[in-house]
Amino acid sequence: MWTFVARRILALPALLLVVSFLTYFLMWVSPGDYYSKFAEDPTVNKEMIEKLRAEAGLDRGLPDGWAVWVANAVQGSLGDSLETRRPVAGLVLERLGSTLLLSVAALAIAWGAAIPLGVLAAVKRGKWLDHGCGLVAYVGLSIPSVFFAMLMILLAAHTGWFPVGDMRNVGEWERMGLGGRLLDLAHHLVLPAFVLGTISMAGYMRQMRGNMLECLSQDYVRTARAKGLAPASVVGKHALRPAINPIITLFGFSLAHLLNGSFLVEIVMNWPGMARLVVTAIFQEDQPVVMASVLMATTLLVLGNLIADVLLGLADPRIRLQ
Amino acid sequence: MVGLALLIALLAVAFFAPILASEQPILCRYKGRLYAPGLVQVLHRIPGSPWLVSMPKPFRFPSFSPRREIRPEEGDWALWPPVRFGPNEVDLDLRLRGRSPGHWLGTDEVGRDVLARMIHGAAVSMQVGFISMGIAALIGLAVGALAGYAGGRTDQIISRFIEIVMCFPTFFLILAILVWLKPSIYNVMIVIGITSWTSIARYTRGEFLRLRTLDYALAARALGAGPARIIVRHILPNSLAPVLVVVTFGIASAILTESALSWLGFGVMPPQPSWGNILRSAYDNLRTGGHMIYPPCIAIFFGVLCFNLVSDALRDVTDPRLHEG
Repeated sequence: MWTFVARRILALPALLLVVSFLTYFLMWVSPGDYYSKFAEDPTVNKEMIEKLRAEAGLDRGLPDGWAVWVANAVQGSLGDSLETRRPVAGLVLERLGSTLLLSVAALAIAWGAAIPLGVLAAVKRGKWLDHGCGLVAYVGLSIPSVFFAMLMILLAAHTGWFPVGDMRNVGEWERMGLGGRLLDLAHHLVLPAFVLGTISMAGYMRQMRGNMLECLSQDYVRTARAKGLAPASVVGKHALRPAINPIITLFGFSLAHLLNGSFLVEIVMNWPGMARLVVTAIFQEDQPVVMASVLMATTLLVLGNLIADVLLGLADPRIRLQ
Repeated sequence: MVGLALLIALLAVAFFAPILASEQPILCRYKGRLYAPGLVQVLHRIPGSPWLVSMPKPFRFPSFSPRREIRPEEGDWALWPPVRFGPNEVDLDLRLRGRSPGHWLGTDEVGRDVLARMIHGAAVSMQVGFISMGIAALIGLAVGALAGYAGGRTDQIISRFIEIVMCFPTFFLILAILVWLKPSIYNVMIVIGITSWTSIARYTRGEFLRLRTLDYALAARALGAGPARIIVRHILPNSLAPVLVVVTFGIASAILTESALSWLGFGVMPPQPSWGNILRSAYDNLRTGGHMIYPPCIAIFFGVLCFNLVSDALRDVTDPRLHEG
């Protein structure tokens, strides 16, 4: 298995090269660049724009510009954002942190609810609890996340129980102690994490229920029941362990899709994460920011898939031996 | 069954949109002549029909605008659609009004009837769902069939390629492409199509790997059939069932993606109606446009739900393992 992992890690740079080339290509073929909007302004000096363009490397052709970008990136310099003039690496990492915070909270909610509910639904197959869980799963799979997020915003606005938008109370933040800050952050985190978590819970719950049903119908489970083991022990030990294996892969994939999943919720709920950074950067054609964030997203995706494979290998000896 | 009924109802609404919501009558007699603007518009949804049936000459009847007074002549009559507003009929006097007897779901920020836009938006969603997954299925089937049938080195190279494409952050890629290709319904279809074929390709490859060793495929080869004939006539029809399930799930997620893109302003652009951009105008006018939140959301919800239900049913039918328990 370790050769497999090593091969995946070795393939990562090649993949990043391909992805960065494609992103550079798309930015290059799309009409105009960051400075185009200034060119229409008669008060702005044309030579100044040309100078700025040359400084940002936007005047270079396709293979050259990309090659220079790669050369800089290899040396650890992802450039400065054209909009904010701040180093891109810091900007992206800061946003990535808040996106990861939201996603991890959502994952915790999703998995924390999906596994027990899936097991319960399988054990009580055909009872009202099972039907209720099935209904929740269908709703979760089909509800547009934009709508769910908007509903929650309306709820927050009506009741005043939760703050609307953003990650922290901007006015009070400076004056708070550490405990106050953590509380404030958690308070802001509740709604977006709940929305994201509920939506992704649906699929996992269905999967868990399916696996559990399959395991409960196995002969060894019947044997365990027949020899008089307590039902909790039969379900919790004999059926749950093999049923949870496929779920581990799913967990790895959910790590990989963290960025994709939270995209819309972040924008609707005004969460200062990667999504808003990327959307504004794409709209403004802020090339260094777009390049860096796509690269970051790809790396996360690959690492997530890798973690999924490794976890599965650890959990299931049959795969390790192959 | 519920899913299938919902799906058929949705497709019917999408197809018959011009006679469900329009400012033009379905059928009318005007100054002694018979016209059918609504029916002709429905007919024109069938590809090729514009050459056979042309639009009636004065296609738009200015005097039939519902807000203007209609002065019929002796013997004139008209059969009106249930919603007497077109999707793009602007009325600046009635902006962002709530539900009323005239506008059942209210109006949007330039006074267009929300119900009419919902009905015509159904057609947009269905088109995007089916055509984008059609593109994805074409690419996926071709790539998967090639990899699965050829096997060996070709299979390895193609499988690596599929893995690379799967590693692309899809939503970022779609946004980046849509900056290049200007946002429009066709570009949305193309972009969703070319980013969502990977799972179809993987399923097809798996099926081909299994089926090409079966007796009937070998028999076809022994009879002297070429690879193209074996792939298209013998293996492909048998590998379609599991692929169909993936495609149906794909349609559901394509509808969600389209509405999300349109909501972001990267998808179907107004004035063309789409569930996503109706939701956008609700979000932009949250204070006064609250009546616009629920209709598109409920529509997207049921649209996605019926495809999920249908694909679940399809999977139960096509997956023999599920019949044992």
